[in-house]
Amino acid sequence: MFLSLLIGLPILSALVVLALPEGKIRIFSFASALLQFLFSLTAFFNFDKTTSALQFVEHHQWIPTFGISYFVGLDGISLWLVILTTFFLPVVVLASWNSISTRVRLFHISLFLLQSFMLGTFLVIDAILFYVFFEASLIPMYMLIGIWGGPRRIYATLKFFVYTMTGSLLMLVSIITLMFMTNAQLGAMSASILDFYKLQIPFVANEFFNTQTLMFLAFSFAFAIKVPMFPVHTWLPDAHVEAPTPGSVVLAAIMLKMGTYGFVRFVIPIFAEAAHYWSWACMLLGAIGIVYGALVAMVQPDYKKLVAYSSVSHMGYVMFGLFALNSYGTTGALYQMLNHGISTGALFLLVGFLYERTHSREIKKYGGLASAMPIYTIIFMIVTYSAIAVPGTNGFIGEFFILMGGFIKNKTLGAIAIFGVIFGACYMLWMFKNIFFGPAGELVKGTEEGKFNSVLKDLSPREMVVMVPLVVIILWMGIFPNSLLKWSQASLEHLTNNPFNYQLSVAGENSAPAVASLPTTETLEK
Amino acid sequence: MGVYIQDLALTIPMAILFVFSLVPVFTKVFKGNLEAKPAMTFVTALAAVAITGLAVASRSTLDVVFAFDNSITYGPMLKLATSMLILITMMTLLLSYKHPAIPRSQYSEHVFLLLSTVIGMMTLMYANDLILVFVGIELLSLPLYVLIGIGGNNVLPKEASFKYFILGSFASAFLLLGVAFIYGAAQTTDIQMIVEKAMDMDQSFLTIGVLIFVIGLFFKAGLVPFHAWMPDVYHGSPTPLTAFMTTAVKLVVFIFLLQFLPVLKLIHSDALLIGFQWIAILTMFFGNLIAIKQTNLKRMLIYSSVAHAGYLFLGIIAGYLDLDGLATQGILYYLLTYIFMTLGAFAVVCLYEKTADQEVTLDNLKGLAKAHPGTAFCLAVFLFSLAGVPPMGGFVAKVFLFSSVIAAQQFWLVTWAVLSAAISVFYYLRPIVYMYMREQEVPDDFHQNESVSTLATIYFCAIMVILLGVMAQPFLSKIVKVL
Repeated sequence: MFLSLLIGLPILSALVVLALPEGKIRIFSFASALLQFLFSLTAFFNFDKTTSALQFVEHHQWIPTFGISYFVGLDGISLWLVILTTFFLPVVVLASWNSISTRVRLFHISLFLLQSFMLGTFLVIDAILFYVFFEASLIPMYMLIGIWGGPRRIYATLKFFVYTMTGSLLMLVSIITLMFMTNAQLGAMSASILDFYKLQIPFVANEFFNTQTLMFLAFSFAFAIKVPMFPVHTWLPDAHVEAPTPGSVVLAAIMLKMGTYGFVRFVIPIFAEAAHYWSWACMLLGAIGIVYGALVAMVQPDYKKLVAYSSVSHMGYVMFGLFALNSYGTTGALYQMLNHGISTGALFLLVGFLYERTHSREIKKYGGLASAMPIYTIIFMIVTYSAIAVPGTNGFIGEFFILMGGFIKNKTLGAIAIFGVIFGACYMLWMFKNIFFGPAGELVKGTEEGKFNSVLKDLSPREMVVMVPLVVIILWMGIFPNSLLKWSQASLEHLTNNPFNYQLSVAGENSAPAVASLPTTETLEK
Repeated sequence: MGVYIQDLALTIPMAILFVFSLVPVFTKVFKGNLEAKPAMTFVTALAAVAITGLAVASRSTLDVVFAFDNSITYGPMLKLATSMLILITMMTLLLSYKHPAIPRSQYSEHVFLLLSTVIGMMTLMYANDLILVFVGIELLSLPLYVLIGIGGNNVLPKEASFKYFILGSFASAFLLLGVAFIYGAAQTTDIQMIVEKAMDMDQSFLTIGVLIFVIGLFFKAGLVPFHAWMPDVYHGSPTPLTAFMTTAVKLVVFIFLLQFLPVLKLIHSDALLIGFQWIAILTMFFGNLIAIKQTNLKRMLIYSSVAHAGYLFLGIIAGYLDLDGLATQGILYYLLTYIFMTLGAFAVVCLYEKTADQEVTLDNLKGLAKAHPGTAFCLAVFLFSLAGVPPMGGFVAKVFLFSSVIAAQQFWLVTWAVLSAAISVFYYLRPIVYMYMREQEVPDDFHQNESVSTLATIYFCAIMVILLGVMAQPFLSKIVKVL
């Protein structure tokens, strides 16, 4: 029941919000979000970190005729992503306290539905149901950007929706093809990923048009758009810039992870041969993404756009590490997913706080902010350090592992990727310098000499409550990485040690006969 | 030879419908051409449809049976299709009652013609004889020509009626020519017999006959390149009838195509398969691409229904490639979902038509989410479902339908289908943008007409679309049982 409650509680909360009087929505949402976060933490009491098997499994038939079931489970790979998701909901609710003033009810309903769909994406083990959650999460995000976004919000939200939906439709075709393969090879139709792992999918190494490569591309395309990977990243800057702060935070911190999670859960284990054969291409695109994202970020006059492009660069690291296909790369990639969630989420929050005060995102107009908002500056600095991977912050651990894995796999690509570290420091520090130091900019200057613009109040207690946990996590993850990684170690080792015969079992079952005796298509064809 | 009691028993639903459809007209005649209260007529019509539904439901059907010297057939699948047709009729009655484009003074005639069309549709679905197919098609078309044209002094419905009549006759001519060729080859018009005797007949005549015959059917289904009449005719018709035609006509034509599959399969030809593939691809892309440019909600939905005919035709192709079971299952589920989402979306258009010639444009939808949140939500559900976004019914239906095509190894065809579906997302989202994201006070003259029955239909359709998405198995089991 635990995982179903995790998915179901946000929907329940959304229904309650529907009935509440306007004034009490925010309080209720925050309380409910916080409770859900605490509830998700109870997973640690029962989670067995010694096994790579799926835990807390629930398995119910949904559409037995096609072998589609409601099948949820948690393992070391999804554990931290789930915690990350539940953690950000109270943060986002609190951060949107004043900035969202219109249609508050609809906003919170969208937020809760989004939460439920994202958790579903990370938890389900059934491919069709995964697709359902993966796509359904577009609807609330579409609303968040389209209703509460900036001036070009409609363009941005349509682009976001059409891009992501287009990418994933071919994945749907591949999923159905895999389902028919389970019918042919395992004797019963099934959409369970565990059965997909058992399939022998025909692969021919030097040919482009073969089953496995095509399906590998269909899946990769869907997830690459979501990540987003160079060159299909173009929706991201628009969506991020136009989205309201809470939308940007959820998009950057969690939704992008749905793409990389898809690579870990589907692409690499199911299409192992193709993934190994094409790993150089994926690493190359990852490396290009790292450098390109950083270079483009460097020339942005708009700080929100700069952070958006830094996302492209950071997610490039994740892809680079994943397709190194060794334990360093994979571990680093998983860690970098969490890092990116925390640090970019924090950056978008900070950027949002500043925008709420001045209503301008032009870096040129700032300068000398450090004297006007000292606490804000300190927090911004720590988050910046995390983003440029200074040792002692979480970013360092992730990038170090990724680059190590990358070098082991391919030295040339590793050398390209490492430029990203330098460029990353360039654009972040450049932005930091221009906003916080130097002579007071036109927005920072007050009307009187020696005073600052009266809107530039330092962080309020509410904003401090939002930011302090993030700063603590950044430092904690940088100094004690093993306190997080030990929970995922068994699963990650299992993934990298069994590249071509990856199987997942269900905790408590010795051999995992996930294929129940279901009506096959032969019986349908009578 | 001869007519037996059990043969007659098969036609009881049609007989009931026919007798009841006469009641309002006769009342009018006996009262000296004085229109009865619309409410009375409405209740009579609803009762007629309800009793017909009961008659269909109460007859337990386990096997496929033939009657009247093999000229009609009936089985579990047709029972399900008939139930769907009756549901559509019921909802159409709910929409047309009080709709401004439906003439108050000729409401009894309207009901009579509508129910006659339904009888024609049932005839078409049950037909196992090509002559009876023709009778069915004519019986469903002729009342429709009149239905569209009666009432009001507007030009558009008259034009639509006339266009439909001309092109419909053209299609009928094709059908008859096809029947003649087939008869020439087979010396029979009995579909069963044609399949049995296929080996020893002139293959070229049979091929030509079948091709011309199905072209006539494609006319009715509105598949590209035989679709040219559709947008104008459907646009000119009163919206409740547009809703009826886009759902019911498609339903019966596709059900009949499924029945006709054994004959189609007699022609083993790669050229025919390629032709079918092109028809499907063209239909999907034409519908979806033209819909992008539409600013009139009704017209947009009409083009979307063209595209959906293309998706449905994918199922027919899978059936042609010997995957009858999966194809029938996919098509039936798709039709079931399609009925609710399309009819529901048209019902929303009906709700905002205050006068007979009012058009509902996208601009009119601005700010609807604030003014009427319930209706706006339902329209959003229909549009997301039409676009195939989970967790709506349209998504599950696409999965089932596409899986039959994938099982038939038609990977490229499916790829084209999903690409066109991706295009469609763009225009399906636009009304939602207008409803939710463009702030504007709704003008005073733009309010819902006070039709409780329309509102009820909308909510019912929305609930069904969501149910078909999240609880697919009960519906699917029902469908699997009738295969």
